Amino acid sequence: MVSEDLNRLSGDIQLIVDGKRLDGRGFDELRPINIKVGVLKRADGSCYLEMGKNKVVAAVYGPREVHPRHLADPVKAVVRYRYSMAPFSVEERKRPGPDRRSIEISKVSREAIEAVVMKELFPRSGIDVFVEVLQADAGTRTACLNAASVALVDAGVPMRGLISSVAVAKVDDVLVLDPMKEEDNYGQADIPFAFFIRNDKIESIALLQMDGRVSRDEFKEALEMAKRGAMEIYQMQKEAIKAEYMIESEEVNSDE
Amino acid sequence: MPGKGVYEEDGKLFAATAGKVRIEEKTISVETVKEIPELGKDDVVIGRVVDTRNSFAMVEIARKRGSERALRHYDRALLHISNMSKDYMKNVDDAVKYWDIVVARVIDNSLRLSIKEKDLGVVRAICSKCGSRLEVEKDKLKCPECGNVEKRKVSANYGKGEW
Repeated sequence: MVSEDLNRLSGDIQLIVDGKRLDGRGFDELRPINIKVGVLKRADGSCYLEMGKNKVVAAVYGPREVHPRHLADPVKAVVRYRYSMAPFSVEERKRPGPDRRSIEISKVSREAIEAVVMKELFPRSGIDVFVEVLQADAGTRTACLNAASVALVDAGVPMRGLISSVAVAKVDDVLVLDPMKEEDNYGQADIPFAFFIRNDKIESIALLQMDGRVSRDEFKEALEMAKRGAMEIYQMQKEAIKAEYMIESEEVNSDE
Repeated sequence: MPGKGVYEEDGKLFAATAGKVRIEEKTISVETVKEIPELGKDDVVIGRVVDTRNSFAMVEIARKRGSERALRHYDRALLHISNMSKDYMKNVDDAVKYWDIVVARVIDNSLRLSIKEKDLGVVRAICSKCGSRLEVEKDKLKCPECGNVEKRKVSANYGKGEW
C-alpha cells in the first residue's frame, strides 16, 4: 500500500484529523459488523463474523468424546479453543501453523469461554472451538471471541451468558474504540476486553489484556468505552441468533 | 423451578441455551432447536460390541435413533444375556460377537440394553475366521469368502444399511 509506505517514511503520522479517525469514524464508533449463524454443515455450531476488514469463521464441535483419553476430566467437560490465522489473512504471507502469538490468544480466549460454558454438565466430554481468521485487520482476537460465543449458542451448548469482546486503543493521546490496523500499529496502547453478559447486563470481565502505556484514569475511561461497545456488539449477536432461530422454528412448525 | 435448559444462580433463573421459553406448572424450561441428544429409557441406539464376557456384552454407543448429532459421552452400555433373545440362551456368542454392530433399545436409566425385538439385533458382523463381512442366510450368517456359518441374533434390517 502506497499510503502506508509513505507513513513509514515520514515516521510520524497523524491518526486523528479534525476529531475524526482515518476511516471517518468517531472515537467511540465500532466498525461495521456482520454476523451469520450456522454457516458450516459439518460443525455442531458455527458462525461467520465480519468486524471491519476482519473476517473470521468459528466452528464448535461437541460435547464429544475426548481423545486422547487421559485429557478427559471425570467431573466436567474440557474446553479446547484454537485460534489460527490463514496464511493469506495478512499482507505478508504468514507461515501456517501455531506460533507464540496464536497459542497465547488461544489460551486467553479459552479461559474467557470457559467462564460461561457450563462444563459441569458434560463430564468426560470435550467441547472444541476452532476459529479461523480468513482476513485480518486489527482486533482479530475480539472478533474471534464474538464469533465463538455465537457459534456456541448455535451448537446448543448450555452457557451462563454470552461473551462480547471489543478492544480500545490509545492513538494520538485519545482513546478510540475498536481500533483498525493503522491505529493498532502506530498507536500508543491496545487493550482488548471481553465481557460476560447476562440479562442484557455486563456481569464481569472475561478477558483483559493490555499493551502500551495508559494512565489510571485513561484505563478507567477505556473500560467504560469498551463496555458501551460490547453492549452494542451483544445486541448484534443476539439479533443474529434470533434471526437464525426464527427461521428454524418456522420450519419445525411447517413439518407438523 | 428450573426445567430443561434453565439454570439457577443466587435464587434467580436464567436460560442456558437459546430457544423457546415454556412455562408449565411453575417449571420454566427452554426448548432448544439444536439439542444435544441424551439417552433415556426406550431410546433405540446403534453401537458396536467391544467386549463379550460369560453372561453379558459391552456395547459402545454411537448414535441414538432420530438424531444425527453425536451423543454426549457415555461409558459402555451393558447388554445382558437375558436381554438378547426371547428364548433361553446359554452362550453370549450365539447372539453377539466382538466387533458386531448392533441396534438395541435402552431398557432402563442405567444404560442397560435389550435386543429382544425383531428389528433389533446385529446389523453388521464380520467372520470370526477370515474377517470378511457376513451375509444373511435364513436365520444364520454366512461368510461369502470362507463359507463359515455363524449364529447371531440377527436384526430384520441386517445388511440393509439402515436402522
